[in-house]
Amino acid sequence: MKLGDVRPATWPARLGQMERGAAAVFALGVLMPLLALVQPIQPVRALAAASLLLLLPGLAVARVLRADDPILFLLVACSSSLALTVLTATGLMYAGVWSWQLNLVLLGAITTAVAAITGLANVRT
Amino acid sequence: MTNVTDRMRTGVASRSLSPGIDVGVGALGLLSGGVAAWSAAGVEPSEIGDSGLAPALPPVFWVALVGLNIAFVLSLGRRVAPWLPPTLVSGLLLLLYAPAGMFGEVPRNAVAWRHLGVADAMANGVFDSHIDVYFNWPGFFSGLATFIRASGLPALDVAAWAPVLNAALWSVGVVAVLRTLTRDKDAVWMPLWLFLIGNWIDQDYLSPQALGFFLHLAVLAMALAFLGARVAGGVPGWVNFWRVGTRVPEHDDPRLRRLTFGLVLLLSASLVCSHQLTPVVLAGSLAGLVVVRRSWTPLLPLIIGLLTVLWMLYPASAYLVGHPIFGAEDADIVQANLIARVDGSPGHQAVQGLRMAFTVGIWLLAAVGMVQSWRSGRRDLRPYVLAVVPFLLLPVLTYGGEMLLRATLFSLPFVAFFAARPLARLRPRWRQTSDKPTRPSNARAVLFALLLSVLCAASVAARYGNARFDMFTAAEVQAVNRLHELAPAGSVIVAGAASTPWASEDYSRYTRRSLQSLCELDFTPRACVGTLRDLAYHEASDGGITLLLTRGNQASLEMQGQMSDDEFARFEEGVRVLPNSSLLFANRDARIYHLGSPSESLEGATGEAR
Repeated sequence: MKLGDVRPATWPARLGQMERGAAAVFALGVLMPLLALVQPIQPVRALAAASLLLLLPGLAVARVLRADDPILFLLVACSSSLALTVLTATGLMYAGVWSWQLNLVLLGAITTAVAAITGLANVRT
Repeated sequence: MTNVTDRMRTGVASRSLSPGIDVGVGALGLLSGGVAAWSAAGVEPSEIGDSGLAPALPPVFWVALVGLNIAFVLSLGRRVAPWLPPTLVSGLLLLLYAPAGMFGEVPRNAVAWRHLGVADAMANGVFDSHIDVYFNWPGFFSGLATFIRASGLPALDVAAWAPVLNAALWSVGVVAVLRTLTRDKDAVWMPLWLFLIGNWIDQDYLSPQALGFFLHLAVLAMALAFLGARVAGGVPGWVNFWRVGTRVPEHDDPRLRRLTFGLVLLLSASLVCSHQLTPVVLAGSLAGLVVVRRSWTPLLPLIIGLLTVLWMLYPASAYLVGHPIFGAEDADIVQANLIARVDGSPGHQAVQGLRMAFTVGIWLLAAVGMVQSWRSGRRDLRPYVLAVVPFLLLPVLTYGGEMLLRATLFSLPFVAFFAARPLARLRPRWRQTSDKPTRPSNARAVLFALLLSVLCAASVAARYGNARFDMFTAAEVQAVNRLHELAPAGSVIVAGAASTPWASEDYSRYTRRSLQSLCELDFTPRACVGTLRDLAYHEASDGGITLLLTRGNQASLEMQGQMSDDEFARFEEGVRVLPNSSLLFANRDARIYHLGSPSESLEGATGEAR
């Protein structure tokens, strides 16, 4: 390594530099499946599950499009989440391994992955 | 991005009123919606007659309805706080869609119960494409299974409130689509108001169609917003629009277009595995945009069409054998879609007439709006195409006589877009003193509010016109639960009509039939009893059949002109005197009979049912 070269930031360091919105979606993508899986009292359980099935994965996706119109942003977030819920659930059904727990984990993984990719895209190495 | 015509801008005050006015208008709207929904909860099912829910609603409902429309009119023709239109739409959602969850004792619409049953079966590991159509397009149901199991919410509550959620999602979709056509506030929220009022079609219950329509709107909004094209260097007319100028993308960022394209494919894939009809309409609508040169992605409709065909050829092939989707209707299109639906008791016929007049009225308003729009120099062909394309598919798609209703739904956002134009003249004109608008001209505002109130009332009457038989009492649900306990697994269970709150559990455990299909050729009591006797004989080795007759079944048969109340009584008497017939259960609203293998003496017994 020569003088003046910049050492690439480590992954934990880059995660720490993620923009606030993407970091929030990332954190919720981890938290909500865990919360739903422990089956807390209502309405916490319903809110945790609904947020993951109807909003969070799409929220991560919608941030990529950077729609100026808040209504369009909401539409992209909800429709993408529903589409991902349908596709993952159907895929698990055809694979013969469907369970709602696995479906939630899968959607949480998609949420965190997309949030991380979009969040880190703006972080300089 | 184009602006709305001068006519729509006329009379719009440039400054907003004081925030207190907006708060007052918003509060009036929300309060009206809440009061209306709450007052509908007090309706007793026994009070509902052939004309549906509307005559049974209390006066306070209608007062709230007028109050809500006054609030909406007071939000037009001027700048308002951004939260006000969504607040007023929430009030309308409560007024029009929440009564389905509020009145009655359990969710209405038997099909929603069946959809819960399919999701329940899939959650329990039943996933066989040979069962029925639902298992060939399982996307919606597998997602629903995940939602119900993960959320822990009671399935019947999910079904009861699905119309409100679906209508709210549709509203977001309609606003997003219309905002790609105009940035004028009133030219977006007035059509949405008309869309919600004009949507008596009742496809917003817990169904693949409701999800499909939402995804359809989402794809259209994204395609219009990010994948659109415009023609530079010329103003196309009707004759030469495909030759004038050069097509250029509306969005310059190719990365954004690629991302949107991928997202649209994701949504389309979920549509293709969830619903038969919607991907075809979507591909048609997108192809229409390509034809008028307003799409930058001409391959998109082809790819969606290809995905649809591939799904039909492979995962859905089991169902498509003997159930073609494309091709002419068995019966004449007009007969299947229109005439066959206008039949039955006088009250039911009146409701059907109202529905047709209501729809035709909105279409006529839209036709006037189209002419006004064209004559004012607007040459944006996108809303015209999106309003017309669903109807072009009418002769091509078979959908059990429902295609006209579905086409009406798909075109409604754009029909409402045009229908709002002539009505825009009635918006209040706010008088300006110094630099602030003060109050509207009273006559105009009152006239417009009354007109919208009449349309809203017609919507309630049309939407809940079948409430006498498509809503259920707790006693009927209790009887269905007993039916599942009493009937042997694998046996045939028969209900008086399709409008039965069954199949929400144990979906694949029974073969379910209804008198409406069994006696389709001849509804006379004698013939119908004979049909049941033959079925019981045929099913003797499996324990005969178990027959459920409910209040709603009787109402359905009577209202649809299949069996009068007197004929129903004679039919039931005929069943009662059949040898090997036994009454297993009875409560206020339902009876359950078991019909075993008949003996020689049956002929004499059925004679009494004549």
